[in-house]
Amino acid sequence: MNVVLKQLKQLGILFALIGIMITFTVLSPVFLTVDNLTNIVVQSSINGIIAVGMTLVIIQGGIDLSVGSLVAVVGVVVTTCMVQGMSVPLAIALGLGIGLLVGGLNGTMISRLGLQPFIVTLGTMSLLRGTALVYSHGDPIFKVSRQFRAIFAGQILGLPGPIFYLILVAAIGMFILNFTRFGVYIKAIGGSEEAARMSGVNVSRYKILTYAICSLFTAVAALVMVGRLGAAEPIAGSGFELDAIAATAVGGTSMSGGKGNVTGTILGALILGALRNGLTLLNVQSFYQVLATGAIILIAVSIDRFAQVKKS
Amino acid sequence: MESPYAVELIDVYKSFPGVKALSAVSLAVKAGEVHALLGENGAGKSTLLKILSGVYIPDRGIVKLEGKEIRPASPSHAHHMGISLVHQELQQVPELSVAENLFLAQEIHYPGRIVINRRRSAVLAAELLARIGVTIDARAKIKTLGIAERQMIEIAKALWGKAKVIAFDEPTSSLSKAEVNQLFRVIKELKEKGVGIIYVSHRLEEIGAIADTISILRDGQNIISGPASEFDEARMVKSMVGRDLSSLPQRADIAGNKVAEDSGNRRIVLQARGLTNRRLKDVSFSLYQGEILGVAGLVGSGRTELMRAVYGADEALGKVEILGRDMAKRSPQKSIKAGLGLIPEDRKGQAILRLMSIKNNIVISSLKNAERFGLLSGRKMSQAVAAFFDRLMIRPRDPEMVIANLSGGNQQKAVVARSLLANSSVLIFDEPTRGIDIGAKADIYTLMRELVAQGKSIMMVSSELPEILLMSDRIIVMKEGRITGELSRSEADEERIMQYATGGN
Ligand SMILES: Nc1ncnc2c1ncn2[C@@H]1O[C@H](COP(=O)(O)OP(=O)(O)OP(=O)(O)O)[C@@H](O)[C@H]1O
Ligand SMILES: [Mg+2]
Repeated sequence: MNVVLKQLKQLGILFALIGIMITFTVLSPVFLTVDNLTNIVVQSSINGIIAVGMTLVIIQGGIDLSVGSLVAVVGVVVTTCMVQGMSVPLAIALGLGIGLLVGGLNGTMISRLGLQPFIVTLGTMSLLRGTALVYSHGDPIFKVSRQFRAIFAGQILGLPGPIFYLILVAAIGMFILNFTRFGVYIKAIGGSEEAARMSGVNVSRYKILTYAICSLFTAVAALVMVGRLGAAEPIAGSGFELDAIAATAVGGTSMSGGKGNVTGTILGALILGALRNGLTLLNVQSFYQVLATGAIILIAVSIDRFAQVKKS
Repeated sequence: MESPYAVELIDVYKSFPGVKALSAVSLAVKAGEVHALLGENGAGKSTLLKILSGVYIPDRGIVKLEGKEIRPASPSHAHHMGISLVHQELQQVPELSVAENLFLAQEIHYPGRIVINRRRSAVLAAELLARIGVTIDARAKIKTLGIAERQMIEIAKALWGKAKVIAFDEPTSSLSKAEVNQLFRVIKELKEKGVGIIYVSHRLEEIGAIADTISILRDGQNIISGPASEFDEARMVKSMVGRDLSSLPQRADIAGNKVAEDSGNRRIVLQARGLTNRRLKDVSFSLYQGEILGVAGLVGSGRTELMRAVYGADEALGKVEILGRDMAKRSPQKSIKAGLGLIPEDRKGQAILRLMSIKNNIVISSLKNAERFGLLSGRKMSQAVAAFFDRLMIRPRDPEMVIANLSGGNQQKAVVARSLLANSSVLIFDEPTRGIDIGAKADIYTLMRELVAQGKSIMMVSSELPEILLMSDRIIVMKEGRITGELSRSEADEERIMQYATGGN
């Protein structure tokens, strides 16, 4: 009974995606081609990967504004190190390590010092952006090796790299949320933190872990981005936090915590991606694209809300 | 012609997804009478009162106020027409002060209706509180108060304004005798003013003391209604449950645990020494294996604070040893690991995970045992939970249902199940039977006795003195943050406990 309702709700988002796709198919002959559809998924993948982590954080009752700046830091550090001769595997490990470290730091300040997630990650957002700018002297870094690009942007198991990593990260996210103790704790903490604490849940440990995973996924997104572009920029990733939050919200995750799911988030990222792609195909000016994105977010969340009210 | 009825509900239906909460229920309350509404957990009492006060819109049925049909569309609408409800679960904003909560949505303004008149609010709040005989600083934040104090504030709130009907949904579930008496005094005043009172409680002795008329619901249907004089407890129970139920166990039926009374080779399982914080003053005690230790005292005497300090939910100076292990830096999680479990007093705020299923609520403290190869096993979880649905009669019998949709008593049963499943060898029960109906109460008492027979040990706080006397092998009494007395099962009676709880020292 519950499961059916849940799926129906997700179908709602799926219908929104299909609706957008039909509209663009009618308006543009190139929209519904295998190439373009692949393109949409590839273009949505970086936002999608970050949004999976964001979903976990938001379900757990928090928010992470630092993801966009983290993309820049991981990008410039990893690229610079490779240019200076670090081996590719080591550079990848370094990138992921930076992610874990930043997430651990965010989580520790939030849980152990009892600071608000919004403020903490607003702080680290600036801190990281500054770090990226200082570290790179504000300049982009090119000359990413072919080996590195093959790992993140080449074909993996017959899929374009970005799509492969999106699927991998989404699968890990779903797995955590649905099949592990950690997943139950994430929801418990987000829904009723005090009751979770009284029930013996180690709230601070699992908070730190959630932020660490979010930042780890963000680091993966950063590597994928460097692989695709073949370069890193200290100003990369600005606004990514808002895109990730938007995908999460459109996907039906409650902003006040306690409930949500990864499937919806992925669909949310695809909706935003398809919209951008379609509008570009139609040569709509980028100013209007921004406008349309805002409208879609509001419409999608209202539909979701409406469906919920109908249910109860 | 004026209607003799303050309020009437006629042929009311209400369904929730998958649950028929009320079908064809009617209730007629005269002005100036106390109408008791009884029924087992989940019978539909709270739902009926919520319809009356505009929280729910009925699927079908009529509501009449003083003979005229009304359609309460929201709580504020109902309140405007003169209908007040004291909710079963506290509806308060923890960060706001007592006065701000009392006048929430009915603020006292300076002329112009923009700026709140704080001074006048404080004066009026103090008057309201005095009317129900409590001395709480109206400027204190709600979150600093205990459940019983908050309950009294909720009651005071209903008295504000010119109510024609006041419905009390289990107002006394956390109150002890002194506060209950205050409430009864107020209810009698209201009666004399011609207010119609609806009164829900699982404490049947209260019904006998205060009700003029009794109506009984079972499975969302009217069973019987009549003057209170025609009901004794046995008949109330029979109508509620639908069969004869040997009523609650009597004190004489329960043999005190001999191990506990025999002072020779008793093993200490929990020891607290010199616990001190804002609410506690140098408290020390020991809990022995296989005993039920009752903790008595007036509201505000520090019972809950003591339990929370021992459990590590609040900070306190002093030492705690659990099963011989010294708990240096305490936290709930460490306590559970060491073998101590606790049922919190504040169900809504500290016990239930309101967005989660009943199943997850029960297994949350024992998820480690529900894993197979590091993954959660749905089957293991369901198996673990199933037994409790039978044993504690949790209704509806749907483990996937969101716990917030259960009736108050059924939520409490799930919380009790959680701490039983965690299989701790030392248990702290803070108001374990709060809001639980008489049948399930007897089951919980039996369960507690079984636990101690297995060698576990229990500490129990209860605002119901009879419950303390019934269950405890030994009793400690608290007053103003200190332990003022200790009584063995054979020494204990109400009078002695009250002496320690109130007496000068
Ligand atoms: N919001 C809701 N959604 C779904 N079901 C609900 C909801 N509220 C109540 N119910 C169901 O309606 C039935 C009646 O619940 P109600 O709260 O009225 O019981 P009650 O008589 O007040 O019980 P208690 O003595 O435990 O407080 C229960 O089966 C309950 O699970
Ligand atoms: Mg109720």
